[in-house]
Amino acid sequence: MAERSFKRSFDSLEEIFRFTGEFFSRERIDRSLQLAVDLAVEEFFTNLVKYHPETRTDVALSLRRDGERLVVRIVADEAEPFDVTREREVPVDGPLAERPVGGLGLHLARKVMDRIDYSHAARRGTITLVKTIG
Amino acid sequence: MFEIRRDESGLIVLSGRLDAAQAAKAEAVLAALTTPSTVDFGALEYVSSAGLAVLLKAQKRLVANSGRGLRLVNMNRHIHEIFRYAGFDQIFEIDAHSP
Repeated sequence: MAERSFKRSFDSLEEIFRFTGEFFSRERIDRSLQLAVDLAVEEFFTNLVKYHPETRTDVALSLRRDGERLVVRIVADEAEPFDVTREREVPVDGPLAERPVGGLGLHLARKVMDRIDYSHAARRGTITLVKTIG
Repeated sequence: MFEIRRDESGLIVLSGRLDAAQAAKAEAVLAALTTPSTVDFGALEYVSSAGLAVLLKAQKRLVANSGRGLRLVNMNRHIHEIFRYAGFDQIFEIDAHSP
């Protein structure tokens, strides 16, 4: 298990990827899976930066190996529940002119992870991501 | 670390990781393009939705202006998969191969 807190800033991404990279190396998990995990973590972390500008508290990220599964938790202070798993998805087909710029994060995270859950308790939101690594 | 440069032939070369912290750097170069161009993905390891957004914005502008947009070459398997998940394989010309 590895856990660390990160400032709510896009500039934290480099440090986050170093943190996940160290975990994948230590646990000897296939590096191609790290790219998938980094993608899902980035999409949710940057949403917390973008959509909660008034919140200054750090975001906690933990990685835990549970047999053939990798469990990632992203924990952040949130006054109100904001269920990331229920966000509206943008279309991924249709002509170029009709494609919206942005909003693909949740869709991509769903594609690369096996499971995504959200819970909220005591003014704290927890996003749990599961990836099979076996 | 992310780098984007335009070589003497006009080829756009990407390298490293194109994430939300680096998207503005990519956008500065792509927004300056005035003609259809080729983008070499050979040294790009990673792209997130923020990177896809700046590529899409450039593609929309170029295609609207000239009818042709970006040609993306040397894309690795992981990034090609992300493009397919986003449905971008339908709106970009992609010559992908595994390096």
